[in-house]
Amino acid sequence: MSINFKPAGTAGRCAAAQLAAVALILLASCTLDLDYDKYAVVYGVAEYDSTQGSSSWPNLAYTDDDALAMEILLNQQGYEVSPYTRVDADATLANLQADFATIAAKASANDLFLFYYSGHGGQVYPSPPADSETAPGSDEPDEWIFLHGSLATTLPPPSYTDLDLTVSDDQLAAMLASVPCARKIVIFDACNSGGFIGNVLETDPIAPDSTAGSDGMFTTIGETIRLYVNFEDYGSDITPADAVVIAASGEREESWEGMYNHGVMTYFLLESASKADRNGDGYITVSESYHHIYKKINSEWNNTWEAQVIYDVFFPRISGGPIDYVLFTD
Amino acid sequence: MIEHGIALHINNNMRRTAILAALAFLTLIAPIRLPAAERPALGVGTRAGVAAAGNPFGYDGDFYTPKAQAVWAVDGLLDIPLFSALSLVVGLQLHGTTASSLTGGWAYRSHWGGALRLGTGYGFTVSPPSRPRRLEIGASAGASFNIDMYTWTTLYFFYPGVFLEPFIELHSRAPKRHSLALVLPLDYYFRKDLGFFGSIGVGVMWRYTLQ
Repeated sequence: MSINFKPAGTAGRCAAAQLAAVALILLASCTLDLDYDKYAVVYGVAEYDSTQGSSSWPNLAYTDDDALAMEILLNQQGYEVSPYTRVDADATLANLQADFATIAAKASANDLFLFYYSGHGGQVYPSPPADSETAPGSDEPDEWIFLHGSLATTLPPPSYTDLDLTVSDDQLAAMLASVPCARKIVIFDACNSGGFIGNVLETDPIAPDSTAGSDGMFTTIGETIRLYVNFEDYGSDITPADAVVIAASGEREESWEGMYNHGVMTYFLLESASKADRNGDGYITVSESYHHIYKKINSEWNNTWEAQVIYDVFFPRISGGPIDYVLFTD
Repeated sequence: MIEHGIALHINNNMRRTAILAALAFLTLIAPIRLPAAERPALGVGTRAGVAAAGNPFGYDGDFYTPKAQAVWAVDGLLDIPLFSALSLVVGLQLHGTTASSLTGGWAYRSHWGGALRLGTGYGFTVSPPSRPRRLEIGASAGASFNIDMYTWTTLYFFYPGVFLEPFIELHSRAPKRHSLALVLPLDYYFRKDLGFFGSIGVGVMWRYTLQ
């Protein structure tokens, strides 16, 4: 009688292979059909006045690099982005309007549209300064992103600003409305960019200027009920139905650059593409990316003495609304 | 406007269905013998189920189709007998709703939070008096007031709702202070950012009658 020995572990390996095959089939069946076109407009402005530099609006160091890094990432993620990536002198209002119009003409409702901007942002007050947008019925002051040409020492003092060469929160909302995609995402790495977000049903306990502290539990509860009772329709700015927005800072906060040669927020946004899959499903939603950015800014920027003493702390903000989108695939 | 009209139509239908179901349930169990009023009871329980969300306000209603979300909750309640078989139910709930599937590259967001639930309970003994363990069926119905936070954000929002919870409850032997109930919770919520949002589930609750 002869006994044939199987090499040790063969049966185990066969079972493991079968299990792996089943798991792969299950995994494949769980893979989402993300069969739609993705368009991204990416703008970064570092050079506002190449000859002099405005005293009130200094040139920035890394915002153009932010845009170029986003272009690379979004290309890898399957976005059509390169024709619509513009930095410095190319990042003008005329080009922005043209890029939006080009995409509006070729995209469909089933596609995804993303707009990313890194550069100066700010609030422009009417005279005299009005209440915050959080006041009922108030949409003042407007927030603006400053495209190339809109800030320069050659422009009239004291603001050295030409608002006809750039866009406000409401103007950008109107431009977004011209794009037929149902899914729209907007990401700002700019000061005061939280003011672009038009949340009208959700309240954020973190004040528009986080150094002013946070609302307590009962204030937050009271505010949520007040918003619910008073809700009739979405108001101005970029509402959740217009687009899901990630903003680098609050309505009354500055955002900063310099961390790892990027804007602080953009650095963690780039990182989120590979590190923010909180639920391990292989997809990174806007909320997951935001959570990563929020957590990292708080731990790696806000907790440093430089941020607390020399610069300032800030918190990113996000749109409310019931819908979330896939931003990256891990 | 068309989408909004559809949302209202669905809301009214669902409300009407819920009310009719509650009336039918109470009519069916009305002939059953009522127990004497009891003492207050404390309860804790847990539940899980599935929610349906749809018709997001202001969005393209054709694109954002309804999707399912899983729901869970942990409940604590105080049951105060009023008269006969009727009781006042005051509950606190910790609950969560998972994100829907990402089919199509989008999802209804995950959120979690707390709720104050106020309602009335109505129960009837259905087991013969000779049995050592009393079996009771009934239902509680009322309103919920919910404060939730979207997961992975710092955004809070409020929404009210109504609930109907049929239950079947088995009481312990003497001294009959413990009971275990199987609950079938039906919740409908009045969210202003969604045309409809409701859930159905199953849960268990342990009740302890105070002396």
